[in-house]
Amino acid sequence: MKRVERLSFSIGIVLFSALLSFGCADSSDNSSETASETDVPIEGQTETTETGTITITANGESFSTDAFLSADGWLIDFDHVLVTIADVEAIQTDPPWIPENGPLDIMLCSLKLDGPFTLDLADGPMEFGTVSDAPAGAYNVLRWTMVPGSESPSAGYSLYLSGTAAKYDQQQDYEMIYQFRIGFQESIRYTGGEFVGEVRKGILQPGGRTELELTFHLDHLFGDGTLPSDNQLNRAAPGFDVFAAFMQEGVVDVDMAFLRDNLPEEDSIRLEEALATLGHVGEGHCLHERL
Amino acid sequence: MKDSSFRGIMFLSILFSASLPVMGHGVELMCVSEPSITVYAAYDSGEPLSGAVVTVFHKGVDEPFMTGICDEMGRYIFSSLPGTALDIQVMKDGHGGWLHISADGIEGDNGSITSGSPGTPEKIIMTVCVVWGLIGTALYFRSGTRASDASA
Repeated sequence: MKRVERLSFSIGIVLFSALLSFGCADSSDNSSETASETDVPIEGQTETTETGTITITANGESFSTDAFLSADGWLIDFDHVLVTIADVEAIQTDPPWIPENGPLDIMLCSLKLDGPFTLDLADGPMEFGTVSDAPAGAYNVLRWTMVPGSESPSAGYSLYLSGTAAKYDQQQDYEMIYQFRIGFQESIRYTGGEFVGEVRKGILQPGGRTELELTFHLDHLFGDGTLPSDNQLNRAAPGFDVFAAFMQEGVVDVDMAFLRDNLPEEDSIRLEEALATLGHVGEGHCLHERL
Repeated sequence: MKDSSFRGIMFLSILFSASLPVMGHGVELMCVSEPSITVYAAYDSGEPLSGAVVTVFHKGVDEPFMTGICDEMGRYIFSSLPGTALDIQVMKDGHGGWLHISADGIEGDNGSITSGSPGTPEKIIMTVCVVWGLIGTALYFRSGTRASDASA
């Protein structure tokens, strides 16, 4: 009996330890503070007077700048990858927030760039915002909204893709070369945790500089032909065939509203899911919310 | 004997509290810190993330103080001073995520492990922890009282 009671006490101590572990995760203060702005309008608050410079960039990776092979064998080369983003927020949290924890509800500090900004990711990584007196600290959450643009050719589209897709048809010994223009109207808010990549980003020391990056994974739409066909990415990606099916006179000119009405339901759902997972922070995925 | 059973339970407790999915792009990460720190990384299918690059940072520091590679079991083991807050990134082929270890020490352990704000499952576990802890403590003092009565 004595051993049982001691064992119960041990278990009790252990479970209190586990309680402490969880309790630490909820110990953050929910204070917010003001930050000033330089190059773009900023909203936010801070207690500290120690500041540094944050640059915010958008990156479509090599898929947006170089021709690549899709999961279904199309060689895709973009002329434009126009993405329009707004309400970009650089946020500090402690403890760090991760997407698996659900909606973000605790912030130590938040800086906001209103936008909207329409960026062409086919031109390569693009810096579109600078905050020269941002409060020092760890900016470990990045949130933004992809919203419809207002200028041609992306007017009405939050994401507009144009370029050339080519595929060799072995049966007919013929190379198909299609021009494509694909527009997506969806407004989606992405919330990512700390940047995942070869270099750590988001740690701002007083007087220092850091970079935050919105990363768009276009391979989630088209897949990556250099990976095995049963790779998780390629199994989920719609590929280009779903768009090529609507080619007319060598041109694929479609938007999401048309596709939703004309694609088989399974393909339509897959396409919407791929779009929802487009936004990343480096290789770190984001929580998404359709607006 | 008593010490070893206690340590065994502590190990399981830390394992349990840290085994929640904490980050990933199709990746599950967890961390065990008894006595050294062991990182386990796997795809969400359960396949180990063998060969994944592990980069260990002190909290809030740009430069890593340690890097390594997960073994064929998706495992990476390293040592750190107790009470050191760490940020650990695991990445392989476009998949990756973060683990965070806070500096708050737990008796007999290198530090507590946090994985962000608690969700509903964690809150349920917290409630169970409180109840079980109170019962265990009460039984211990009851045992002590009986022992002193017997010796008197």
